[in-house]
Amino acid sequence: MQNILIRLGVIFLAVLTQISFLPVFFSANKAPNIILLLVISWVVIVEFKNILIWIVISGILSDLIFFRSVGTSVIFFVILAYGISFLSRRFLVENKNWGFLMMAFFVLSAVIFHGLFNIFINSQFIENFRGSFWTELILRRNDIVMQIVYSLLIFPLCYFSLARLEKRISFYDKKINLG
Amino acid sequence: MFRKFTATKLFKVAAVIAVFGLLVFLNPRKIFDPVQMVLFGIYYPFEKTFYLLSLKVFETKDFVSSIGSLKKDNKDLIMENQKLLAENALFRDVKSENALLRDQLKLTPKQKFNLEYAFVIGQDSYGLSNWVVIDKGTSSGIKNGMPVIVSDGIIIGKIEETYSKSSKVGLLTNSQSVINAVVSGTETKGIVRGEYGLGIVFDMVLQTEVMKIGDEVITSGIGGNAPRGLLIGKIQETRPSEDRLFQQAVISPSVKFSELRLVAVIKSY
Repeated sequence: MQNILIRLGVIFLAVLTQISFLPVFFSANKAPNIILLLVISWVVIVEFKNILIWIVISGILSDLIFFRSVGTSVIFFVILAYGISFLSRRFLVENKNWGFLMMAFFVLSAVIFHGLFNIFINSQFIENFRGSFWTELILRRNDIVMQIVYSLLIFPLCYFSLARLEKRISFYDKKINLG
Repeated sequence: MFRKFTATKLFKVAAVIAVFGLLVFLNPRKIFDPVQMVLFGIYYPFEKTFYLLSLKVFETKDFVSSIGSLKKDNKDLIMENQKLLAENALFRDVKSENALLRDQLKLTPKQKFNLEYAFVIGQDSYGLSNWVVIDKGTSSGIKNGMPVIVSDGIIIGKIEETYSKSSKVGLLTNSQSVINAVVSGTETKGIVRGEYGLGIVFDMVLQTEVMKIGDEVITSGIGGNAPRGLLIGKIQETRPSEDRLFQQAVISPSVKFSELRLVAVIKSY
């Protein structure tokens, strides 16, 4: 029960930070996506099958708070999590020294694909494909670059905080199982 | 074998994508509206606290970094204040003369709006749909479609969704935002719409109309979605429309949408 509440609290805090804290410090198009960084960190730290439900919940909450069609973020987060889980289990285990670079690669790819995904599902795209998607991509390319920079700076904080939290959760789990 | 396959990661991912893909395709807003309402009810006090806290941190950071230029800024502000005091005195005189003339010519008084002031407590951090969340909702008499202004007469958007204690304001830069407008002084008519969530365009203007850089664009009052005379922005650039049938003008907004703090909702006019 405690684990469920802690993880729900983390998701709640991430969404709150995204909507009410980050926009004050970063202009609208350049703010890093804390929820995305949370998903990446979770997939690397915890086994995919144990964290899938929480990724789905993060996506649903994100869609509801940000006034998007419910399921939009869920689909992206789940595909991203599967991809990262696939790559991290193979490369991070075999090449521990390259771990830092792999993480940076995950963050960079995730931010780029998330930017493209957002532009893709934007309503302009549905109304007018020919001009809208590519024009918007060209207009937003600098914003995506800045998002990558800010995300890479914030990711270590997000990752290590979550790693500590998950360590504590697994410690309590073991204590309960032994008891 | 089937049981083995359904236990795999790929199957679980495919199942989630299928279910939520269907939800996105069908987009059953009505099912999730009550959930959203409850969620916003829970989030509201935290959003307000977090936003005010972040503003305090931002202002402290801003103050510390601007200490060096405070002396110069202070001197400039004193001079500007004196200039404004003089202008104010002149305007007071013009105002009383205006009131007297209106009375003599039996003109109706200038419109006064029924305003509900609200603080911004959340923003679209992805910058695609361009909206803000304010801390007033249906409990304060806010309804969908009400125009939202700042500084007594600059329109920034309109109410798109309302909840008990908060509301979503769609900004003018939102690609789905459309408002009837005219150029102040020349009465050149057109519509103002958001472009790619980044800017505002004055569109559907006849080729025969003349627009100059620096002209002010205001709401026309046509359609009833906003009163006449609210400032939208100034013309920055003119160009022909994509189909070459009309002309367009890029508008430079009068406010920075990312720095909105206090807004006013026009409840009636």
